[in-house]
Amino acid sequence: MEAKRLTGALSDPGASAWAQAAVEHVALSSAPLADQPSRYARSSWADRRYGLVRDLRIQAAHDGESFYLRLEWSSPTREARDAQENPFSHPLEGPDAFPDSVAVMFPSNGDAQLETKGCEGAPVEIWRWAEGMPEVVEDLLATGLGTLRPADGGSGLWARSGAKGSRWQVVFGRPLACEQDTPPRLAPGASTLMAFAVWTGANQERAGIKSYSQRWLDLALER
Amino acid sequence: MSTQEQAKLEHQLAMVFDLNKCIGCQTCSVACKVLWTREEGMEHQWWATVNTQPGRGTPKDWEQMGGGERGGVPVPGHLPSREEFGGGWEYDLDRLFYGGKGSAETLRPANGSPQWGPNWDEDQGAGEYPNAYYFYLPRICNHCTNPVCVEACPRGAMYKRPEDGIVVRDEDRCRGYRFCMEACPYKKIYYNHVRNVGQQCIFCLPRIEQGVAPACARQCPSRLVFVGYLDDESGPIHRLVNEWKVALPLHPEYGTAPNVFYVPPLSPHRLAPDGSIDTSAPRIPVEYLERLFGSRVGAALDKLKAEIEGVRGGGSSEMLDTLIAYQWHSLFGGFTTDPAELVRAEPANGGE
Repeated sequence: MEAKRLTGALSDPGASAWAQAAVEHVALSSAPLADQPSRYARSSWADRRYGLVRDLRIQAAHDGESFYLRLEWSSPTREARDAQENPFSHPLEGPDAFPDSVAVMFPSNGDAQLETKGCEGAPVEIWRWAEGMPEVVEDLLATGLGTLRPADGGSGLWARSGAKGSRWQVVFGRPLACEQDTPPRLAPGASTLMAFAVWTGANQERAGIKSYSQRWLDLALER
Repeated sequence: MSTQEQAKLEHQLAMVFDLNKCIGCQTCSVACKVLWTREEGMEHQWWATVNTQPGRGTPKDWEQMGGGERGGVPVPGHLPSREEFGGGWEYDLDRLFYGGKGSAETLRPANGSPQWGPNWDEDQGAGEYPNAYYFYLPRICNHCTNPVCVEACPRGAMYKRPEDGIVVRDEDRCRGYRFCMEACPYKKIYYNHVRNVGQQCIFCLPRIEQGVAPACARQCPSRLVFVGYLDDESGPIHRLVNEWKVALPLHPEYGTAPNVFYVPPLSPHRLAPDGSIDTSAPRIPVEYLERLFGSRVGAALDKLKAEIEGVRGGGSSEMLDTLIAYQWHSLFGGFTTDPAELVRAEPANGGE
């Protein structure tokens, strides 16, 4: 897909500027149980449905200064809640409560494997958003399953979210000119790969219990 | 944890709780609470709890929540809810004492209406008068030899310390996924929503490293908590568990090989309808104790009774002397340092 050079309030997931951006739908499927690192997860989720979200709506853009990635999906968690409820007031303190969450993954180089979330020498960069008060925005690195850790600071990653009915709308943003040139290289004319994951909090999805895109999606930034 | 990793354990710290001496005073619970779980996000955490048995316990009906292993296969576990844990109540004492409403204002939680708590069914027990019965069951993390919590973590954030077998967590690695909580059949892991990490009893390891017994053991006014290395053949733990076999694990069928053991409770005889003593059966049904402590509980109770009879007959019993703990320090397996005598390091932030 192409991230066109656009103008407007692209940091706002509800902004009309997003109507100019092409829409891509990415099919998601349940992450393989065989890849779960623990016997416990493989055993206890064998008879539980997970990876409930199957479709992720994606748009990308840049304005010459920042890169924007807008993600939208219908959340079974939100469907289950009171539609009138303030989407940002739901308590998530309970020991059995998990947030709805979305993540996008970029390979640092061509060797990074999607299935294993990278490996030694070929890390992946992961941007994660999770609902909550406050909501969580994380810039992470991984070099294999179970290795997620905070990325070195400095990428300037942020996220803004909104909700419409049962749908979450999340915009990730990052300055194009990154001080430390942290992968992914997001500059006009550059291209990278992306993969996605969504967690449905109401179904206690977390960690490797998630929906994910099985293939990399090409992303090119318009000059 | 693999067999290879288990083999690396040098020693295993363990505890024995003598249930015949527990008076349900909750001093252990409070000693632990005051020391470890007072931060925001830990309100409902009670790493040490004491519940009346028979009872539903904490979290409510934890024995029906799964977890552990059967035949080496992990059993799916339930993640307890805030309501099932209960507790964590806050009280507006200013309003109570100084609100000007006199006796019209009563002591009640400011945050909701309690439906359960860490000791909700205290002293209810079971049975009918005059044969009602109950006893107290203190519980902490069992620091299991087969720690299913460690295996369940997809990030390897938990491990058993090779020097003493204490199960600990690297909170920098923990991301609050709570598979450990699900997998623990004893439901002795708690979630801190402020820090987004799981937390549990750490066997007071900073005290252990200074030669001080854990707070629950040292503060117990009934001298019922024994501490020590399971392989210390001169210590009380080894003798009670392995030599005399009167201390048993809780729910051995959960498959985690706990390292907290219990001397099961003896009970008075039943009373017959005419008020005479019925010696045919103990007040606490052995079947109930077997459900808690496994099939060896009858033999353990027989051993206790035989030793008591021996002493009543003029004999002596090293086992009973051990359980009585004439010398307070004899409980602590060498961890006898008085924490008040330790030189404390200044807090890094100057105590601000």
